[in-house]
Amino acid sequence: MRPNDFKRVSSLTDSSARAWERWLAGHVRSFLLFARERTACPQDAEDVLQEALVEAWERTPPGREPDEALVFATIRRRAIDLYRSRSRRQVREQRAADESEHAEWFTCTLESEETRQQLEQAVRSLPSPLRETITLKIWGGLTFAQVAEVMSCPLNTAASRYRQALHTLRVRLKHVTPS
Amino acid sequence: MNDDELTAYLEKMLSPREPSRDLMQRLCATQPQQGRRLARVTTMRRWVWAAALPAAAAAVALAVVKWADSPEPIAAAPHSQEPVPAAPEEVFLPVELRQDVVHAEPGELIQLPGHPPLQLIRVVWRDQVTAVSAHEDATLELERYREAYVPVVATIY
Repeated sequence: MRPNDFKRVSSLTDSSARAWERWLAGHVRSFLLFARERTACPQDAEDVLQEALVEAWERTPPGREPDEALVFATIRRRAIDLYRSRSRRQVREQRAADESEHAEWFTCTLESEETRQQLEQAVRSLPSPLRETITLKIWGGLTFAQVAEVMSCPLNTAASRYRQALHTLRVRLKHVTPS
Repeated sequence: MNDDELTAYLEKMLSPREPSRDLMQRLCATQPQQGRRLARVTTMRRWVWAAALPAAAAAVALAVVKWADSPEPIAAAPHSQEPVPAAPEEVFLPVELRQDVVHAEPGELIQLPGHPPLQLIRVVWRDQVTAVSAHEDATLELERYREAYVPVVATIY
């Protein structure tokens, strides 16, 4: 191989690295939120996130960005695989430890810390399928079709879960949200 | 507050927390190669297809050979209670090999950098193998044809 070829290969690698970092910067927050939602502790969320993002990136043709729904689905699958390899007791203990650490999922943009806590608590206390649906729809920016694809459920189920989640939140946040 | 208003409110009020600096550094440091798994999947698919066709052809050939070799069905086969002992397989050992060129024809001219022009010659051999049984009471003659392209330096006038 001639010296010019070496030069060309290294410049391609630099460009690919920049694309990876740019993609991360634009999407990592919503992916991390979903990984936190799917796992029992922040360490697991970060591990699952890293594995899923690398897998999604490596499955995408050069010059393109991974499909977001596919990335969420990969995170979900990786989280399920992780907990299949552990006993229920281990998962329960980790979840309890996480509750005591109380790792925060959100930042509040305008209002007080107390409002953020109430809103976050309301979202976190939703049953898992409703919480997943609302996370993917609102903060993941997915359509109902994509949510259904990620969660492996019919489109109508995804839509009804979303409506049910909003209804539950409306009741729980009666005193927080503006009328 | 209707569904759309509540959605907008949640979206406005809650924003997913930023990842820690450690996590971002870890992710940036991974530097995955885009399309790597895609290439592996494509290669695997190609191999599966490449293997499937000869396998199918072999299966068809085997079925045809078995069908051709199978004896005519007997209308009223006697029902024997005792199993028929299988004939022991004969072992043959190769004792002689003859390789004869039976055909040769000139093919294409090729030019490699730094070499004189080469001409490809298509050569066909006939291989004859003589094998005898382990007890040397039977002889088996086998014959096969094979071909190869042999490069020879082309004569330039």
